[in-house]
Amino acid sequence: MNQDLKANIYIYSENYKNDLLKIRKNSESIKFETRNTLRSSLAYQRDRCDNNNKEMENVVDTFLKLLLISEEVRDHYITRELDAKILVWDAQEWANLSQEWILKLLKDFLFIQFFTFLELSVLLDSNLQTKEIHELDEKNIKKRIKIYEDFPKLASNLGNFLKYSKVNLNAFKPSNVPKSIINIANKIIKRRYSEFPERLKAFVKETLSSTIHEFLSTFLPSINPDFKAKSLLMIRSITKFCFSTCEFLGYEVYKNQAQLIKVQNIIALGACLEYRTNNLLDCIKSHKDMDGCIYDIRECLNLENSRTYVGNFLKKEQVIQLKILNPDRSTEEIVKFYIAIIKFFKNVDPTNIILGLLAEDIHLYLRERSDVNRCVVSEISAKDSELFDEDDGLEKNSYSSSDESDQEQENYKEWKPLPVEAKFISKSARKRNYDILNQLIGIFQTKKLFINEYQRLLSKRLIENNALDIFDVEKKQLDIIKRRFDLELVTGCLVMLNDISKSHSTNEQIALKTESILLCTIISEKYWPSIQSYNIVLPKPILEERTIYSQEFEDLNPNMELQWKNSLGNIDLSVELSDRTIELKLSAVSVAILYAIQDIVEKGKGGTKSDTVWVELKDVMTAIECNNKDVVKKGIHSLTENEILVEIEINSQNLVSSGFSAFVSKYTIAETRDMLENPHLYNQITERSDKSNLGSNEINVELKTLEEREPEKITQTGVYDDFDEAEDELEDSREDFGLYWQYIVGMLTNLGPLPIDRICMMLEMFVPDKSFDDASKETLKNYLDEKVRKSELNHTNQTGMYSLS
Amino acid sequence: MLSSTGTMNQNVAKRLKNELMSLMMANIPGVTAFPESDNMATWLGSIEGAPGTVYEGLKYKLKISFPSDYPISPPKIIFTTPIYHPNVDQQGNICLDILKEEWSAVYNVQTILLSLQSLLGEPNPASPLNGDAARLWENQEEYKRTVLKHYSDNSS
Repeated sequence: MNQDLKANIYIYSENYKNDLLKIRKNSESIKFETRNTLRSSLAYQRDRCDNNNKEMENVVDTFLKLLLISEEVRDHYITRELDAKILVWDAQEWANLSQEWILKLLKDFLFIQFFTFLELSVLLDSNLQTKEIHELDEKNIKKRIKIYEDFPKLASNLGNFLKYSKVNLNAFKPSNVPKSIINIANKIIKRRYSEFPERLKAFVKETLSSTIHEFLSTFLPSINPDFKAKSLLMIRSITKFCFSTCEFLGYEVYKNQAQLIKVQNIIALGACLEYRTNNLLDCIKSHKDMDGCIYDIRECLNLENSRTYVGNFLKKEQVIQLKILNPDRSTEEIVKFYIAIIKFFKNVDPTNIILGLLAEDIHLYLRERSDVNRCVVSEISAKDSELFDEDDGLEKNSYSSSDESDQEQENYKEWKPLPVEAKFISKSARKRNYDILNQLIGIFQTKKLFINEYQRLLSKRLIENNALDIFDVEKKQLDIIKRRFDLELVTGCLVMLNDISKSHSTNEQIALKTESILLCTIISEKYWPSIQSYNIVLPKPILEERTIYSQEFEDLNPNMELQWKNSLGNIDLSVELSDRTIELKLSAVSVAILYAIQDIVEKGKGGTKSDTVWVELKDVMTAIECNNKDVVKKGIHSLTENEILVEIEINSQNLVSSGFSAFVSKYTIAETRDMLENPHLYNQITERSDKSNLGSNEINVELKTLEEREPEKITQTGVYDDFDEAEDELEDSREDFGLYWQYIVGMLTNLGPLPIDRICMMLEMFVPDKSFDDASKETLKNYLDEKVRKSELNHTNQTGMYSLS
Repeated sequence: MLSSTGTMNQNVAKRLKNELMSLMMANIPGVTAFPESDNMATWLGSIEGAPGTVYEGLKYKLKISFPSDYPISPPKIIFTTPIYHPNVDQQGNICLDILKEEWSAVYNVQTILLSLQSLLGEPNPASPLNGDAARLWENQEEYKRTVLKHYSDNSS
């Protein structure tokens, strides 16, 4: 009879078990034969399974039967054989199994297998233990290692198995798992060993935790999202189960129940921590499974040294370098990622130790990037920035060692000492406030750098937007920044904001008096970063308004002088064209261009009223006296975009020789819609005869409201009314004053601001053969005031002090 | 006899006046000093780190006290801005040979200030007053970072 068939029949026969038991008691040779039979039977089933996947269920059925039998008869070597078969199954094979069978396996097979493994390794180890370590032969050691190596594989198999039994997972409550497992464990293990080798302690702990980890990393990513937040519970349950197993095995790892629970927790948390840390950055970046991650990590940080583990893992393994601080990421991306990291760790770790460990590396890297300052500041001051919202919690750091003793006394019960790991970060780093804003500011090497950049962007925002609209937001932001910096550093920004509100009231004042429609932003020259502006010729109506405004302003502030920035500001215009009226807001440059083109068109029209005059770019540039092509082009672009101007490209061959490109753009005012749609019909070159439908080409650009926000410089000029008179005298003594000037610079540099009397006194004292009478003192004063006008000196009226700019 | 404070020897005052004038006229960038008050014995000054050194762009204030027997004895100079430097201690005392044993009456404020400026960029780690800084000097990058941090911590 065929050997395989024989085996099959044997297996299915009811008497097999009894036979086997009998065999067990018999001689070794019979045992050996039985094993061989079983083995070949397995091989047979296996082959069949390979040929036809539908047979899979049969295979499992056979396996289960075999397994149960071998369990009954305590033949570990057969069990082991069976396990090995299952272990080589891949995901596909698992997937082929139906639900029913998977559950069956879960109940009867896998966990049995798990314990068999455990048992087997323990057995092996206890065998080994009887000999001294040095006597262990190589073969034994190898054998042992082999078994250990299989352990995680088994766990991953367990994960695979759970993964492919998707549907049932929701019904599969975490708490139920250990229950059913423990039941099985009970069944199998009860009858087992009373002694567990002492030296296995470490091994079991290690193996269990690596097994659990392996299991989790296969299992967790595949499960239902609702389930994820409970991953920790799951791990706990499983660990608990593992320990119960140990107990059943008679291995009293920890005699004390409380200690046992503690160790269970540690292992569970450790496994969870390791799993979570590995995926942490991806998790933070993708925001996927954040809740579960936060929950787990927060729990895990109760472990000793967990913070350094997380911190060092991210640092040492170059994880951060690979995933974040990567050359092909934009700085903006990195900064955003960094913010996410800060947010995350602040949330999970109030001691900020992890952040403390990570921050320096990130900061060092970011400092290498040239655009980091800009990125960070724009991130901080982004309109929808949430960074300022969290600020209220600023002083409530539970770990901060502040002096608020009253409050501390009240909270003493909640006080927790810093974890031991705190020693790994410097004391100053510990005391720092790790909110996002502070961390970001920390990227800058000096606070001054940060403030400079902040100021630059602030000025840009204030100039480009309607300053009053964003005023409140900016003020709030600045208040928060102010709290973190020395007042001295933020003075510039404060003055800038103050200028804005002051401009507002000045505007109101002047509007009341003159009905001026000009709304100016008046900025103090010294405190604002330099603002780019181009010299252009503005249309008359604007200039007239400006003159009135300047006049009023100087009446109000006799010591100040306005310097207009021509190309900045916006104007509300109402443009009346032949067939329509457009109301819009345009930049000063655009308005100047529009007026210039209007002028040229009007002039060019001359007698033949109906001809359309086209204007070239260079003509516009000459008209508004601006030699920056891009600025003018941009201005024109906004006009064509708003359909006030129309553009044609003329292929002017005759111009090629003169070095111009073959196509020249020309512009004119789009009086009618028709012109917008068919601009070429209106080009003279096409020489169309029927121009009667053009309508009148009258254009009337009317200034409706001028909202010109032009930053001007205020130069404080002391008295310079009588400056002219003093001029002659100054000329005479120019030489001397050159000498004085060095002395004055010297004293103001080293001694700080000084009043005029003291300057005179010092000069008298230190300049050889020089004395001052009242007249020469007055001359000196005029000389200094001239310097003030040239912005080389500052003069404060209240104190009468002069200082260097 | 000369009194050490208040009234000053006419010759000393005259010499200091001349030194002040030549200093003012020389107008050396990054180096400046001026008498603190009508008493010429104490000057306040500042030096800026020379370009190309780790102290580039950093400004340190000094106090110069002239003894009554100046220029036979060297002036006493201390940094009033805390500075992280191998040859300057935490109180601002400076270890520079020309201010001590190598002092000569031909030196003047201008040469002293220039020597100090070059001392910033070329410390003498052999006779350190700040051992930390002397050791760190080897690692220029780290050194610069420390200097900047020290500067921003102390000057703001």
